[in-house]
Amino acid sequence: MDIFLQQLINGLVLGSVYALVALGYTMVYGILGLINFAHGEVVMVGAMVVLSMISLLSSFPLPLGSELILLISVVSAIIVCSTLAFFMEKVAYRPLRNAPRLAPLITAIGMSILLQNIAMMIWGRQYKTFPDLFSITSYDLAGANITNVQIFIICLSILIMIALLLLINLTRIGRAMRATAENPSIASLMGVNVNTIISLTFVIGAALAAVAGVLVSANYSVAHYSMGFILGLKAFTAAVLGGIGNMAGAMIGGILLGLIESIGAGYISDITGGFMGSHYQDVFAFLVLIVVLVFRPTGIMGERIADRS
Amino acid sequence: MTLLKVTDFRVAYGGIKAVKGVNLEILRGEIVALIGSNGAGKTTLLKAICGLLRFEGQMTFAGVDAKRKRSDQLVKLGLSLVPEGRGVFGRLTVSENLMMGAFLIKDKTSIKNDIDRIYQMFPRLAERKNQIAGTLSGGEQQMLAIGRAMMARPKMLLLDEPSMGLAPMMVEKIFHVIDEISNSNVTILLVEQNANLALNFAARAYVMDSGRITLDGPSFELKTDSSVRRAYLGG
Repeated sequence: MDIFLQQLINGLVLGSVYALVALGYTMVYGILGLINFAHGEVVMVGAMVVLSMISLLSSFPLPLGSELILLISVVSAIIVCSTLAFFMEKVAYRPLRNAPRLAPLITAIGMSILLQNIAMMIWGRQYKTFPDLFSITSYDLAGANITNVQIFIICLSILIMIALLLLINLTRIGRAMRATAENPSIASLMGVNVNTIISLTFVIGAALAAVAGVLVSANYSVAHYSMGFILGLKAFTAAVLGGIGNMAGAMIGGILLGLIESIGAGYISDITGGFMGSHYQDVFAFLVLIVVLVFRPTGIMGERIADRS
Repeated sequence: MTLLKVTDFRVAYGGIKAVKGVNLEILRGEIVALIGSNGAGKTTLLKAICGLLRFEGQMTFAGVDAKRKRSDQLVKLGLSLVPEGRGVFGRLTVSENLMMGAFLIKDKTSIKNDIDRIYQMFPRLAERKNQIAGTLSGGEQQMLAIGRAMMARPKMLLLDEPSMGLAPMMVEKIFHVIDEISNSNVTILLVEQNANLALNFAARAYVMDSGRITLDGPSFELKTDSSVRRAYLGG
């Protein structure tokens, strides 16, 4: 088996999930200058809702097809997460809009802990396994394995990202979002209701997070109330790597971080002569964060552009 | 017929009172100037009128009580501001900036026609329609800011220092366009530090000093007023 190609595939899968989550961080940061540390918990809620919905629908007296069950579950997760993010912004962040920047940051961390604890009360402390809705088939790709779930994850992520880019760059609402990100008060002078745009940003970010939650729990076959924390931090790292506030950057940063992490994990044992194993995988993400913050805090795409106004 | 009326208008930044009880009344179709030195409170007054800052006192616009209205609601009523320092969206293209100006207009063909009209007014913008607005020169950005405000089809246009930092030829060009806009039945409130320019352009003017209106009247009278001459016209 070709280890490098295998890690490349794993990294791509992981990276597309990071990219989806990183988009939520970067969109909110772009408009509010706020790092929404509770975003990782939204991913977790998405995963949990999907698991609950699948087990609920599977025990339904009427036999529904697997595809239909999955579709309904994912849509429910998107609705729950979007609603959650909508109220989170309204209750926790909006009152602090004009407060010093540290205040909403601390609130975000508080929100993250709160959501984790609520999730623990609802879904319990134990790991929940993802039900076998579909049989997993493995394909051979030049000596490496790729499963149908992995192919699905990569394709769906790419489709969603393309759709998002089209929305942001070609529609009236997307234009208003970009304008608001650049200057909220001038955008309001164009007739844009800035609060609506901010709510919409949170809702879109949460919908992406919900999908990411589904994908990541399908990939690892487990979900846990605390899964959002590390995942959120890594996606945040991906957003910083790509250049926080830049959407294309979040996508590139996410994929890149996934690749670095899984290739790093694949070879760390060889490099350190067996001293460190692949469970040191998490080290790479934060190593990347430190390196980026020290040497290029603006990230890959975060170049300052001409801004004479 | 009165279009904009503000009464006992007060604005404070934290504890600092920047506008201390201003009264203005502007009729439909008028060109009115608001002159005053740096720090007199002109920009603060404009921002508060446009809903960007909270104020005390009364304000009616187009017969509607405009107090506590958000700026996007005021745009809907027909009040547009060309902000100080232009405020173009530097990361959006020229045509995207213009389309942002028409954010509240639903009819796509009329947006298209309006954009063509702006391009006729400012051929320079047409040449650069796909360029990122942040790369335009100061004068081009001013054209874009005015064109963008016109895209909302306002009843009234508030212009905050449109001549600031521009070469004399560009100033002339900009004021020519403002004149054209005024002829198309748009009411204009022009804020200027350049009192000479403003008094020659507007029919009527208010003089603002330390947050208060100290004088007002027809421009030709103010031009001969000794205190105005001394303070703002350099002799």
